[in-house]
Amino acid sequence: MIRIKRRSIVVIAFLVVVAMLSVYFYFDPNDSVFFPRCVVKQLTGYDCPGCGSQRAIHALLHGDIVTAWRYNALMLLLLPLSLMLAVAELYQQRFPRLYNILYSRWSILGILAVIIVWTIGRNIW
Amino acid sequence: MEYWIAVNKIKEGPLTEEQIAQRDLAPDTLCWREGLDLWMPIAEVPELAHLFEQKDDDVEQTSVVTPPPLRPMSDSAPATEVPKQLQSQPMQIKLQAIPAKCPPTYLVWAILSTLCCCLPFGIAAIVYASNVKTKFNGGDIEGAMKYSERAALWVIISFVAGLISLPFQIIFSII
Repeated sequence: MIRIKRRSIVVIAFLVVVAMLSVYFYFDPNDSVFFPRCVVKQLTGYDCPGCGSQRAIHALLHGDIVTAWRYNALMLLLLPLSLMLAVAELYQQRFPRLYNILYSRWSILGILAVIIVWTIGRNIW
Repeated sequence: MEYWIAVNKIKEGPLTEEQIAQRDLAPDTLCWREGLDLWMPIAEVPELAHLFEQKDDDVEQTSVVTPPPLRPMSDSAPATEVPKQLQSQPMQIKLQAIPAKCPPTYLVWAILSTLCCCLPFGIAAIVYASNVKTKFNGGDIEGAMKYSERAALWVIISFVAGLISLPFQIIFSII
């Protein structure tokens, strides 16, 4: 029962992700007004860690890594890292060392430091 | 096979069967090994039960109480069998509160919520996530669960805040 429920959640999540990715593939957030805009950016004028993600995803889906990097380099770094974190957590029995390293306090605080420094940096330069 | 035991809520392990045999442990000491979903009284772990049968004067009782293995050996066995066995053992249901594995950190969700423009809630979730494993490794299982729950809470707050602000985001976009 639990297994069935879990599987259907995975299937639904997969379909949602595919739907969203195809929206971001076919529509350019630069040209369309229907993409949500960052509230933090609108209110404060500063870029938040997520600003540019939508345009970066659009560029990435078209294979334009350079443009994606310009829009949101952090996302480009954190997406593969998140994938690795997810794999390490799901298969922690098989990769105990990887799991222990990635989920130790210092590597998580390191990720946090990168996010903060990069966000400050992108607003200064 | 390696075993972990919890004495006064402090996790110890990995221990071998011989090491456990040498210690004078109470039959209700919580024990876990790979393959078990939950911690269970050491006298009820099938491979260790014999250690306690000898010591215990109430031989009859232990042999009756010893449950069949928690996991059915073959995959074809119906999965519903496990909960049924658990129900007949009220003790084990209470034990579900103590996880054998480290509670989830929700770190991936925290990072994704940070990238989805829900500052600063995702950051709070990352800070809580960073403490989960440290607490768990230190034997503080309750503390680890507390931080795990806090991390989950902030991830949820983050996504809910994002959803609530979505109409405003689209209004900004159209203006």
